[in-house]
Amino acid sequence: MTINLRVRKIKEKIFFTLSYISIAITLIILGSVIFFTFVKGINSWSISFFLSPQRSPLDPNQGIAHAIQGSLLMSFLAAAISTPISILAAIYLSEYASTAFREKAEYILDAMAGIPSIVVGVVSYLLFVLPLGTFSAFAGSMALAIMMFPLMTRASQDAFMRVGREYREAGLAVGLPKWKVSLHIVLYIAKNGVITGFALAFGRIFGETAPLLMTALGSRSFPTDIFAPTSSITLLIYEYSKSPFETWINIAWGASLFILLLNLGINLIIKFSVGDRKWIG
Amino acid sequence: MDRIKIELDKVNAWYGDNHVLKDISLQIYEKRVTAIIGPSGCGKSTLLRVINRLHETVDAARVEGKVLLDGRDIYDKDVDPVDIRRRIGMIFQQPVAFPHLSIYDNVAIGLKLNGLKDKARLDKIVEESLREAALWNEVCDRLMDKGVSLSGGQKQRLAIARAIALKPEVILMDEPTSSLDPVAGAKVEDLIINLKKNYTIVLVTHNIQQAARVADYIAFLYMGRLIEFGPARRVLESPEMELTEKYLIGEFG
Repeated sequence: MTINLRVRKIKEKIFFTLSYISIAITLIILGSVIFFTFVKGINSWSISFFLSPQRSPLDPNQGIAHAIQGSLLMSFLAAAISTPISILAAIYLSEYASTAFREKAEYILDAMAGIPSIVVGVVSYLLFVLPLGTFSAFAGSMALAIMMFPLMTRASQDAFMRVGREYREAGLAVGLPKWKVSLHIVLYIAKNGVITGFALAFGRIFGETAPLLMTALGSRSFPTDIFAPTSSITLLIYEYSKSPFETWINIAWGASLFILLLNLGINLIIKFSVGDRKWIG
Repeated sequence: MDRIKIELDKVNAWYGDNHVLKDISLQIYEKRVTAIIGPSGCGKSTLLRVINRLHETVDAARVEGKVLLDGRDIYDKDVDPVDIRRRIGMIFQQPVAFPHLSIYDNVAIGLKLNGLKDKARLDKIVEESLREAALWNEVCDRLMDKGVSLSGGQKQRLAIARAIALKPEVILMDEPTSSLDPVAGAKVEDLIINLKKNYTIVLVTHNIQQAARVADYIAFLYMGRLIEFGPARRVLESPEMELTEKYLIGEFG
């Protein structure tokens, strides 16, 4: 008995220690990513870093402003295309679709969300670059929109399906047609969930590189035309980090730090702004 | 003689394979309270939901038979269920206050979303509806607060105000007091008695005392069938069917 007990206690201790070490490793890795990026990146931050575009590799007064603008342009355009479609698709799945159809659609959307982003890049190249004959911010936005669509649709659908049936019935009972119940009641009650889904999907596409490599290509100057090659922060990091120039490599670190903090910031904002979900039925 | 407002003619209803209402024929009289009583699961709520065509919004739900509103079958092909639901309001067991809307908008939602924009008229109807629902004095100085800030009993009266705002001809009530404490429940009961001056009311209740206090007519349902129907007093004091009597004295239920 005592031996058994002892063995059990040792097993318990081993298990505890292993799980403890595992979480420590995870946190240390994550922490060192943030730490190294910060140490290597913070030195290149300056006013010109945020306000100037690319210049010759030896010019110290250059920055990533053109890439920030390109990233914002393409991400917002992608969000503008994808958001209304996602919300309507989610309403269809949650309010109208039969269970059999919904389950199939969920399966396809979940599979879509898992497609490697480089594949989305290749497909977008075929669909939007070849026919237009040029790399462009438009093609980049479409690639990002394709990335965003399944993420936001599923997040919104989950939020809609958490809204209790009693609210829908109360809406129908005052003589509202079903589409008004969906738009004016279900969507509003679920809006925190939809906003969270939007922010997470936006954060995801903002940090994407692969879909843009074959669509937006990259550029050295400020975006002026959505049908011309355009830079993004991630494309700039990709290009600069391979370059032989120390200035550019430092800027790549600075840009990495910027995008890292931006993502952490988005997550924090979500956490604090829509933390309260008590009322979701 | 009371005027017939709604007449059910051989109504059958199903949820999938589950046959919940069997050959129900019944008259509902204008500006009277008709109580539907019976044990849990006997089909009371379904009967109510058939009258405003809410039953069919559930997957695999089906209805056969006729429901005549002022002589016209509401299940006719060219009748829009949305119009029916504007004429026949409904109050649920769980009081619903829309969490994203103010007290004011909780009452006005039906009118606003059906296209009424005139602010002065909206104000007037919201006030009248809240007064008629005996809630005005409690909320008149905080109409812009969220509806969810109200207590359970207030929320139920808010739901009644929301229904009244559409000036319905009939109000269906599905156990409107069963989730409320006795004091709040009594207020809603008083309200029901007042409302029958202007509206035809169909009240589902499992509370026989409540039926005795407010109902003019009583229908007793058991296992999806209408066992007995008649003036409340007659049904309660000298039921014709043995089953009704057993239910009334509490042998089952």
